[in-house]
Amino acid sequence: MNAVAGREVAAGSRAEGAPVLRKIAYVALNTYRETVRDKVLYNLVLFALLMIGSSYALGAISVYQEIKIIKDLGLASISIFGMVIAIFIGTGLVSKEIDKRTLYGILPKPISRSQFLLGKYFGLCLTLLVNVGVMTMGLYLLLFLMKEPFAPGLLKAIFLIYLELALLVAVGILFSTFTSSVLAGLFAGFVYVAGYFSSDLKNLDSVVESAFLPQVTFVLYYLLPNFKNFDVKAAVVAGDPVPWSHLGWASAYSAIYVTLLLVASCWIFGKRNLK
Amino acid sequence: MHAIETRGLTKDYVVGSFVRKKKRALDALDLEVEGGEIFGLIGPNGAGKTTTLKLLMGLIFPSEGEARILGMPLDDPEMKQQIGYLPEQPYFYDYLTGRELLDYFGQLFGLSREERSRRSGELLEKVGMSDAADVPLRKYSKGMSQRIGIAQALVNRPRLVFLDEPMSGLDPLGRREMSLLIRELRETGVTVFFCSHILSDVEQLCDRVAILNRGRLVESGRLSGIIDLSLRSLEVVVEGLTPDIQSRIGGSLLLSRPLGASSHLSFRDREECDRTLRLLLENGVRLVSLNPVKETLEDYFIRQVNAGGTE
Amino acid sequence: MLDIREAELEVSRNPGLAIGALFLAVAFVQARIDDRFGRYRATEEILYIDNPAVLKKALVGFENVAADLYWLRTVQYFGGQRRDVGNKNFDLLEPLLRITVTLDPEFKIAYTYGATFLSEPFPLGAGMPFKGIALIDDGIRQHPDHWKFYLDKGFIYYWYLRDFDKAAETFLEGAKLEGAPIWMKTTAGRTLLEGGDRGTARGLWQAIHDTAETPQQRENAAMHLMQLDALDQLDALRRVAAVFEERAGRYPQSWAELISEGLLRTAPVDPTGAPYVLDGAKRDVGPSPESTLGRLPAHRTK
Repeated sequence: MNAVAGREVAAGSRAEGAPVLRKIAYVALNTYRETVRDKVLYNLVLFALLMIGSSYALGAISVYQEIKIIKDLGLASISIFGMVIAIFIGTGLVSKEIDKRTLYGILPKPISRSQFLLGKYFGLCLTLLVNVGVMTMGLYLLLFLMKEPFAPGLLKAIFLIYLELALLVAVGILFSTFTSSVLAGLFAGFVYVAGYFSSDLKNLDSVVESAFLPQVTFVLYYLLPNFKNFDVKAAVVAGDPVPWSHLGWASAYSAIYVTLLLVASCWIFGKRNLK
Repeated sequence: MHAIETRGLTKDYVVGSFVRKKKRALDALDLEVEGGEIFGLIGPNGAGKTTTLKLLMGLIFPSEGEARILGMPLDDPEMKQQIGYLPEQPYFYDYLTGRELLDYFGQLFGLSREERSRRSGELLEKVGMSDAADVPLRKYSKGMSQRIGIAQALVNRPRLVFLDEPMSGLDPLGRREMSLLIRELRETGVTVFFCSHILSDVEQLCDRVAILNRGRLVESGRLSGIIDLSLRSLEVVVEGLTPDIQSRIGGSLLLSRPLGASSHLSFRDREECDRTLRLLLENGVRLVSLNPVKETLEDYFIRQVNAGGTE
Repeated sequence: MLDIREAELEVSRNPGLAIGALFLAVAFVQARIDDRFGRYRATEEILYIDNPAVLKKALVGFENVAADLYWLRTVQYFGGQRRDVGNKNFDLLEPLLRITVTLDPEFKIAYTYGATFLSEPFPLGAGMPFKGIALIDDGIRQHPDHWKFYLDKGFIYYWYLRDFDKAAETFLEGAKLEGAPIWMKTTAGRTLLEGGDRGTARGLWQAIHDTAETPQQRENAAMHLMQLDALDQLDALRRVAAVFEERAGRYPQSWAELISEGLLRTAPVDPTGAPYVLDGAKRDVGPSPESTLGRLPAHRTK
């Protein structure tokens, strides 16, 4: 037996290899399939729908404010549950691959670690899209049942919420490339809270007398992901106009920050010795 | 070009949280595996077998040294297109069925839909999993996981397969099938590299072996070169040997363990055995059994490992 | 089309650089967002629940932190003299302050800040001195021994409402409290006697300046002190112009004339450094329109 014979025999029926983007897409679709079959995720979405539904009861309490409360609570539910889902899938599913050694089957295949991570990310984004979509339909269904005319403005708020969640998933992935899933979840949650209040840090020099602290917080403000950029819920419910250019800039922000996080994640993951 | 080549491949781990010590899991491994052969990597637990495999698969990175597979670097996707890997105690996505898993991996290799479907069917048949093809992996027994494991290693008709403990979890029938499969792979020109601690399997299957102990290569080369295939002794069991006949034959008869009516004899070489047996048979002694005893790989192995001593 | 493998290899060669560049891009986009949408963002974010009592119940356990947050937002949004003067919506100031002090009644700064900026006329403040009084009264109810609140309250009567009797009365009440500085009593007296006297005003503003607890209040007081200085300077300039008119039989047309007459050494500037303007047609002097002094209080002779 020699190598030449082996080559000849096997060559005829061997594949040429898939193009990179296609591989990423396959990983994404498989990731989506994974989340769809995950029981916990169903429960979360169900819970969110329940919350939206229960806003009906709350609305009934306050006269003239029912619709506003339903819209407010509905958007808040989508945002909060979306956040929980994003952190959960962003951290859990990647850490799980590392812990459970399913990567042992994947990495020897002709796909690089970065391509795999990107595929995972887009798969999670797809999952989020579907989840947010389901919750959105739930909200609109409720409004429809309340005989409210179709309010397209809500979609702007939901679009921005989705951008926010896509960013949060990337944060979760970054942490899960180097810590356990529990820690990654905690850190991601912390970043979310910090990012939500980061705009308050920006002008600290108008409140605090020290010279040093405001400089630090000023820099921190630009470094931390500013989730406030995506929050137009109150405006939308009040019927205030939300300019399309804001959606454009917010999209740019999310896209650039996500790229940053994915580059960092691929870097760290690429260097990591697996257990 | 060698199928697998390593030069000075080394892996250190840092152990301990306060006092950080370096533990060397693999020490300057130089290895060459030729195309078309079945190569066995053996050693006691912790010898570095799995470490070697993980390094070759790109799951961990070497501290020093380098390696090439099929002449290509370890991160080359073209190389990965041509190899298959069966991990030890394989764990794949438990929410997928066997068929879906093979299909997914087929996608990553770039097989078309028809090819994937055909190939999955073939492989499932080959490893005897056709009936369980649509059961999710989380419901698989150990043996079933092992079978699907070998199937996924062959999706792309690799030139070279890496198997980590391929027999683990298999019942005797399964082990037989696996052995046959490995031999069949070689027949089709595929190089097989496997780790095992079941030495009888290695002895049966491998053309060449390498022995690792405590991260170091102890010996490597053709199996026949390593263990002494020549005779140790010939063990013969006869019936009806009376002290009378015994004294008449005379000579040096190694008598061990007289078993009631049967007697157990031991001869150092063939000629002596033939001569004495003929005499015995002429004298009415009946032959019950004749067994040549060779040194086994296990004997050799234990000898080597003990010689390594304590560090 | 985008070649991912190429990009991968490029980035893996220098990931630090890529990440740094992306952070800069992100900061740039963030700055643009803040620029264009900052104002519109601030309004809706602030007051979802505008009933402070409900808020207090909802935030149980976190009232202090929440109070801090509302305070931060108040100050950040309303800022000091120089920030974004045109864009503020003062309708939010009172509710924000009310929420802050409801959540944390110990937050004395919020009361005094409110006293200043609720009363300060637009565009520097809300121009609602009675709301300022109401807030301070709440403060006094919570902290009856805190003399500074009486200073703040009295000052609102004095400067913004021009009610000298009430002002003096308040100063006297405050003067009775332990720890109150001695000048509170004398100030009360002077207020009664001399009313809108500029010296009294200066003394009070100086007191506010010295006891100010936030940079904004200090800046505000400093500005008012400069205004008073400006008034003094303008009075002096008017006297000089009058002398010229006597001598020359007409009102001067420029500072140069006064300088050549030996009545002035150099062209006069106000305390912010902006030059004063002499209007020969209107026969008066005043600050330059470009000056940051703001609207001067009504001309008052000594």
